[in-house]
Amino acid sequence: MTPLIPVETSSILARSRPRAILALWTWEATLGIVLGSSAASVASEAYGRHPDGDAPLFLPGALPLLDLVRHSLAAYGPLLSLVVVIAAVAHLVGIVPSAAALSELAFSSPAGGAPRVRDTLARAMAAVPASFTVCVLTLLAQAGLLLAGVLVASVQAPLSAAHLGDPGGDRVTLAILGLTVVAATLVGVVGDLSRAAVVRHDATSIAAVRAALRVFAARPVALAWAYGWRAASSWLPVATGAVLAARLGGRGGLTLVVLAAFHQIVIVVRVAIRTSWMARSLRAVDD
Amino acid sequence: MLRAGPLASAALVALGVAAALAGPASWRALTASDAPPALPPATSPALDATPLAEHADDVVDYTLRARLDATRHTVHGEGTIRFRNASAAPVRELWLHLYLNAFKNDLSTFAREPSTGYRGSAVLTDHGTIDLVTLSLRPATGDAGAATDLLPGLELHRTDDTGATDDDETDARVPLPREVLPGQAITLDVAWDDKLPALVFRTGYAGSFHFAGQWFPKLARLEPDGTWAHFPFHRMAEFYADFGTYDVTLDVPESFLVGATGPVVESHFEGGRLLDRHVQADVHDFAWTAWDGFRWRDEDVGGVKVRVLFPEGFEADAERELTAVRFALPYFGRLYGRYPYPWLTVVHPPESASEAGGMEYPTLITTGGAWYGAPLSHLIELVTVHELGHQYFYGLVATNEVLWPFLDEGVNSYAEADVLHAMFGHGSVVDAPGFTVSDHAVQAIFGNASAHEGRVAQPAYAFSTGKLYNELVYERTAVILETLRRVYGDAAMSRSLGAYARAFRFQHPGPQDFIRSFNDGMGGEAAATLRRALFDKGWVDFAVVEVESRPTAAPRGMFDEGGKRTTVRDAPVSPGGFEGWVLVERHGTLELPVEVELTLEDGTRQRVSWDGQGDSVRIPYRGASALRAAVVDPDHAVLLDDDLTNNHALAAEADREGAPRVLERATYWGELLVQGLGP
Repeated sequence: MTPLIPVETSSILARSRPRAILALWTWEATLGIVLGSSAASVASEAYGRHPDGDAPLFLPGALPLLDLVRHSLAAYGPLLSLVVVIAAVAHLVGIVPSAAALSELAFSSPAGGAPRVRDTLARAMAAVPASFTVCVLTLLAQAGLLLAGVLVASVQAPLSAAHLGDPGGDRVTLAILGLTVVAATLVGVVGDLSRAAVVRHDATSIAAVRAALRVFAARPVALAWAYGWRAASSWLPVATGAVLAARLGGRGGLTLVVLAAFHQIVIVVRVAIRTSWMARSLRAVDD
Repeated sequence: MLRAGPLASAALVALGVAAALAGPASWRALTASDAPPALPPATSPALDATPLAEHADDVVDYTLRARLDATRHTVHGEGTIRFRNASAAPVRELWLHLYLNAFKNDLSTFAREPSTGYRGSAVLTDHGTIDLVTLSLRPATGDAGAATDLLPGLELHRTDDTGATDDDETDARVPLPREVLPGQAITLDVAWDDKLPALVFRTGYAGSFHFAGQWFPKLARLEPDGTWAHFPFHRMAEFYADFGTYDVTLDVPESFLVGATGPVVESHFEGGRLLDRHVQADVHDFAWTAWDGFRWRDEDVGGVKVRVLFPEGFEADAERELTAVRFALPYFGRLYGRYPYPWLTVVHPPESASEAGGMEYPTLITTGGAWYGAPLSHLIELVTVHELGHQYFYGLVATNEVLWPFLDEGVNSYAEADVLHAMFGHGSVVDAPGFTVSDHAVQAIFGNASAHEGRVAQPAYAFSTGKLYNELVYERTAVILETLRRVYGDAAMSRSLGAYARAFRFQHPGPQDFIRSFNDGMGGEAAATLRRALFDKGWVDFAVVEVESRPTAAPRGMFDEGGKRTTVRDAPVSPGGFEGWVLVERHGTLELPVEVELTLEDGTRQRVSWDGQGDSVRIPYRGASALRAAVVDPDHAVLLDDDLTNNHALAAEADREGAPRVLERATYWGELLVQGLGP
């Protein structure tokens, strides 16, 4: 294995490693196609022999779609199982491509260019155990926070509704839940920083979490903003995709090809934004 | 790359707008009928000219005064009931409904009936009762003497509708000391005490909010043959009574606002109390609500004063409810005759009293929903329109809800979906960008799901679960009627249901009257279908079984001609000609005419009609292009069709279309899911 050279902090940029973006998109697209094919097989079984194909499933009013849902109940069990499996794979096995992307961003070959794929993967695999531990800790912390938030919200809901009326009570409940989500998101930011520290500094999971907490505590607003604007802007292409899909309805042919291309561009843009956050995390843990 | 996100997003917006302008014409053709009608379908001139009954036959008049103790949640009531024997037989007894006793204990019919899949399944935390204090019969006009105390003779009905003995206390028999001959009237003096239950089922209190339905001793309905149509309070149905005039004075704390059946004719404050007197003729029930948290809006809608009562912060909901009423009131009037009352109260209960929502009483309806409305849906409008429709199918056409619930809930569900489609088109339930769900679709899915589970036309208490009651009474009835409208047309529907609503205004029709109206307006075939669907679990499923075509050729084989036998092995094929057939089957017991659409290889489409008689039809085809596919009922006229996934087929040699749209969408959503769940 060729030793990798850490990239200078200020040069850790997503745009200098398009291969990382491509790799993450390939990973997500593969899982998406597995899920999509399963759902499509149910639709194809019922509407593959319709002269308009599955277009009736996109008719306004949703009568054929709801009818198909009613008559395909037997398919939901396996489909749901597949979604659960994919979710588990996405989260657990997804640590590997995520660590690989971090390695790709954080290191270069001795010649100064992008490292060889074999070297990147080796570095990523070495980081997997600690990254896995960080992921589990992050998940537990987030789950605990969310549970506590929901409990507090539900306990106070009748009291605040009685004192403030239904709208006031609901706003208090919403505020509590919103704060809980923000807190859980910030825990996720610390988790991301921890995994960056694992890859960049070869840290153990505990050392990485400590480093991440230290880094976050030093500049909470800057890091929250760095994550926040990226997270927010990543929803803009999704919203655009939704508007486009709504406008196109069940059109097929070239229009469908355009929509598919557009949707994949949306996914790639989101991957790019995510990779940009990874680069920012790596720069942060160098400080 | 850090700034690439927003820049790329902006570029994508531009690309998206450009792509949205594209699209093949076939999709536009497929969705060409999306636009909802802007106006109600016209009724026939003959219907419009039909004189509407101005008033009901006044059988029973209540003059009551009720005082609410908002702290103890009690109501003390007193007054008189004037009853006229409108039947052809002498009356020797009265039947009183004491329906608040349904909430007295766990032995009531209401408490013991199954609630699975129906409203009001929450545990009752505070019970309710109605206790008669006085029930006396005034001497006949011209007779001297004291009133007769009827309370000692009162017997609580202990036998339920299936003949079994029970401990229900909601249905009471009152023997009379003298006969009441046909046409004669009697007057009863009554006094009673209510303890309102915690609001878990339609009536009761939640905090200081009070809703009083079924709150007074109420006479059952006397049928024309002199029998009493009396029932215990059932979980799923409760309404059937004679028309009359209600003159009710409500006495509540002065900080409370009251909503009730009929307009306020007198209102004043007295000793820290508000006294509102409501008078309404030609109705068969009286309900009211009182709360110190109500806000209100008043509006004149076509000469009807509409008042919306709602909690603070629910202004947006109130506006949506008013909008629904503005549209639906004239719409219903056009289809079923004008709304005859000067007043309508729409009550939006607070969320803590949501169980009071979604109910109908004469000139008063209750709706519901959270203060932030129901985003991307029209559920608030749906509830409002449904309850408003009950002013016709329950209020004016006063059918027996307990014995034939489909005649009000079912027919009204049809009317509801009709109005909602006119208001919102295909997004009448869900109206999100790119995804709409119509009330018709929801009704079809749930209504068809239970088609084989039971009869639509049966008493409310005969349904084994609330879910079945919902699906058969509400949804399936609506689907049956919508199918008849789509198949036989708006005009025929107007001649049937429109004529029925007009002819039986202020009447108490039964199922036979209903079916007869369809026989008269839509024809015997439709009426037979209606009867079979309602009474005999009638169902239907159309399916395309075969699509075949081949080049037209001269016949082959052995032929005898002029005493000589010749054999033709290879007949010449006619250039450009094809012949074949489409085999369509009809499964089930309902016969409905239907369209079959043939798709040819050259892309053209042809429509063929089938009268739906018989189990199947083989539709011959001859044309210049080969048959590619066939679709039966391409416009989904037959909402009753049990399974739409077999309504189409391709010719054996045609390439399958697959499901590219679903593959594309599901893959994209799968990728978004993976992104959301990724580490």
